[in-house]
Amino acid sequence: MTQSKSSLIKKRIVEAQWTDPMVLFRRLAVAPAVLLTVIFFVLPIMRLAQISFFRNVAGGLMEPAASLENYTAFLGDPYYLTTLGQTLLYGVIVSLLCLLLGFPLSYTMVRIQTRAKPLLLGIILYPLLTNALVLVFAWLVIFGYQGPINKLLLFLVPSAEPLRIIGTPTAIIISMTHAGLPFMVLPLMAAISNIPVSLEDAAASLGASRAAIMTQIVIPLAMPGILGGCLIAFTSVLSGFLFPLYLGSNATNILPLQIYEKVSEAANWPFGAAITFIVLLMTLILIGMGTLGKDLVARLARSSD
Amino acid sequence: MKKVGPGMLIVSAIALLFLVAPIFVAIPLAFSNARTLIFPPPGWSLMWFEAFFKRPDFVKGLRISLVSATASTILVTLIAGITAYGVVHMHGTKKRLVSLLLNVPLLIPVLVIGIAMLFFLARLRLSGTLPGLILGQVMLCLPLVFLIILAALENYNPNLEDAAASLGAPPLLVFREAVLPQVTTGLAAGAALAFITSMADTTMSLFLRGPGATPLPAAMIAYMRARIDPMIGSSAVIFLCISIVFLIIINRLIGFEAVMGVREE
Amino acid sequence: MYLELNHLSKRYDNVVAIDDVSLSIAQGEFVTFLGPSGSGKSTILRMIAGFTRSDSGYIKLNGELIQEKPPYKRNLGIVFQDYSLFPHMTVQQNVAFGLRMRKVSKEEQARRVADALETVRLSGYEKRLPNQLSGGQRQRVALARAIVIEPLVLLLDEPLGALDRKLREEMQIELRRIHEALGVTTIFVTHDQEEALTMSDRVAILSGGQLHQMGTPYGVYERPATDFVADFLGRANLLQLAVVACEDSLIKAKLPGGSLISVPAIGEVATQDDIQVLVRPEHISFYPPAGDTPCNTVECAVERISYHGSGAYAILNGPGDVQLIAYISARELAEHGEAHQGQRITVYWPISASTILSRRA
Ligand SMILES: Nc1ncnc2c1ncn2[C@@H]1O[C@H](COP(=O)(O)OP(=O)(O)OP(=O)(O)O)[C@@H](O)[C@H]1O
Ligand SMILES: [Mg+2]
Repeated sequence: MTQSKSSLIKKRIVEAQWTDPMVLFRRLAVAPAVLLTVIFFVLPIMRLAQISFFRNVAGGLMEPAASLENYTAFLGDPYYLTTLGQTLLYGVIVSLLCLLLGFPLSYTMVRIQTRAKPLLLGIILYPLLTNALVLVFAWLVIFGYQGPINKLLLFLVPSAEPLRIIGTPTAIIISMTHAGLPFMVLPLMAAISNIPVSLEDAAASLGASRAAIMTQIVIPLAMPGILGGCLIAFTSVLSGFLFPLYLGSNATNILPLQIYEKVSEAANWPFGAAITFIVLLMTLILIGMGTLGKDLVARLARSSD
Repeated sequence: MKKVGPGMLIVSAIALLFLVAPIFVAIPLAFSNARTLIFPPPGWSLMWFEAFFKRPDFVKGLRISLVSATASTILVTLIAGITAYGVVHMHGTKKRLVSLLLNVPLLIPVLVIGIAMLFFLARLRLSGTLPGLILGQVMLCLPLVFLIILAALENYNPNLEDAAASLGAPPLLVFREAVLPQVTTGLAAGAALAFITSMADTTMSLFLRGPGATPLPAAMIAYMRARIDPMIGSSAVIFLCISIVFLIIINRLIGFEAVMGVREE
Repeated sequence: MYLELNHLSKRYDNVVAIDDVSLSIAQGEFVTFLGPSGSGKSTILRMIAGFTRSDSGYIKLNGELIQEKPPYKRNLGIVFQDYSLFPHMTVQQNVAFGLRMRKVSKEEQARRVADALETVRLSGYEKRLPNQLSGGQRQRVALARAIVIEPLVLLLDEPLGALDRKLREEMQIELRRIHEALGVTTIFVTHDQEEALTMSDRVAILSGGQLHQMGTPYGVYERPATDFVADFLGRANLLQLAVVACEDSLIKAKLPGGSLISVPAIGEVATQDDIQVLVRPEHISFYPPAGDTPCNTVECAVERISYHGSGAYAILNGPGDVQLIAYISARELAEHGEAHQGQRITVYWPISASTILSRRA
């Protein structure tokens, strides 16, 4: 008796909730973003996959098909395989450089107390939030024959030949490291700020020097941030087609540039789609490795001595 | 003992110098009176800004960039705000799933998203149009802005709504009195971030450009095919100023620490 | 002395955290720093540990100035309020950490870690991670980690603050036991006065960055140096008196209402001075003391009786609006019969149970 009564009341409340505009609004609030993401993110990725199986026809047209020829063309051509290898190499070098600069920077930014902190954080964030063409232009100036580096060189060694930096891998690596550094710092600062200072104090009181505190406490505890930062820095290399486009040379072999050229200039969409899809797969593999890496690090930490 | 050792401080200083260097080069160059990228400039002038504003493709490009950034900012802020409000009221698996779906795009290279968007919008005959460009930038900003607004809502108190409702406030009044005051800062910061991200975008701007919609980055790229001179620097200064102004706004509103997900000590 | 703090001062911007603190501690002593929140207890501890530098003054440990030594060379064992166990290391690894930093051989590490865990009664938990332990167990790991390095001094910053009452009392006994077993000089920080009085050889009472008094629990409780100490340690009747006559060992003084009271003389007090006198509630009784102990008497009206199980606090209104608190034991209460509100009553306390406090600054 009482039970049926209470369930009746419950039912009424549920009904009332669906007619209460506030409750209705709350329930439907996530719908637009979810729909938008499904339609304009998931469907485009599926379309990308589909086009990568299409066939290119002369004149920038494509013919619906289910052929693997774009992929076999990619995998069968040593040129593209070298490009793939080069891309991975760029990714690894840039990630490591970002880590080398980004870890000390993140640690300092978290632990230091200064009035200038907002300014310094602004300096760290701005490359993410300014147009990449601005950075490309600045690097063209810095690396140019009449740029500050060569000016300095000629000032120090008047007889020196001006250095050719634009068109070399160095220029690409430096500009990409610059663009990737904020991506490295974001997860690192988040991770380091979660390590209580008292852990470092505790380690110091137990006899750990600064270096030992870093290697024994901070780095192991910041490992998720380190892996995350490397992952995102690597991903930023896979996105950055403007730097190799302007700071590279004809000899520059890197996938994002290939994608830009195939899609924008050669108008070979199916092949461009296949390369893009390969880049997407690489990203997913990296994410998977990152996740595995985190578990592995956790397990190693526990089993060591 | 100071927490940060000298080695750490030196590397940090180098990293910060490396990060700012482009600003200190790009800005002076825009005010150069030379025709080449000579640094430091031999003399100063505003000739490259004049040249910039005399070129119809650049002026129109800037206008299109501003229009599409404004439109996508309004759309993204509305959608992300409403979504964050919904997510705050959700629990358990459903909440995790929705957050995951909305965050996944952050892990995918922007170039991949841009190309996929191009192919998809081409099918809908929307590529190369202003609505297509706006849509592209909406998708670019949505996950970021959603994250920021959600973070700003961390201290949001849903009970205030019930409290207001129990006092007899009709729904619209509840929304105005109990919800809006708690979310305005987050929304403003999200909007600033959306605008800055859209203005900084090159991927969507280049791949989704078309005769109807050639934003400034696309116009710059077209110009840079022929030559690279300090006029590109003047566009760079315009972009930089917009970034810096909005960075200051975001810092004032919620602080960079909140944007970066960093716990303050 | 083993550990000496000399004229330590420290300010943060405009807050004076430590104000000219000097004290010394003998080897093997168990000393408690007691004070309200923000009184500077942790700051002093952090100075001893080397995490915070004093603006002036110096610290001597075992005859050596340690001001310039970085924390990792000081060989002090520290237990933090939040334990600060390394979350990525097992109990074994946490406790062994200090030994590993000292490059102690693997075998000796294992032996000493086992000993330390034995001492804190946590053998068998070696393979657990900190988040698989209860609060009390984490506390013990932190303690084991601090004692295993055989520190010169053991510094404990409110180590029991996060524990529930029962566990707290258990750990208090445990800490004393460990202190006795190891004989290590120990500084214990707390803001719980009962804990400070029951555990320590000596108590240092801090407030606003100043050291108010340092002495045995009995000494600081019965003979507080300042009204702050008197008030902070348990309940206190602080009487404002005007001195009317000074004899050799006795001072006669007047309550605002005119009643004459005798107080044992200490220091320089002259006629006409205003003095402040402490009488603990448990010394005030409804009956005159046995024998011919000289005592003070005051006529009061009962305002309220509040029961506390083993006894009751009687809030009394004396002449001239003086309010007195008396602690009446359950036995006395039973003998006296229930006192009711408004009842007039005479209360007594031995003259020797009243203490003149140094005049307020
Ligand atoms: N790093 C700091 N920066 C600024 N002020 C500080 C700092 N550390 C301590 N203080 C100030 O110094 C004073 C003493 O602090 P301390 O932490 O020593 O107090 P405490 O006695 O340990 O208090 P609690 O019982 O709450 O732990 C306080 O007013 C505190 O605000
Ligand atoms: Mg403290």
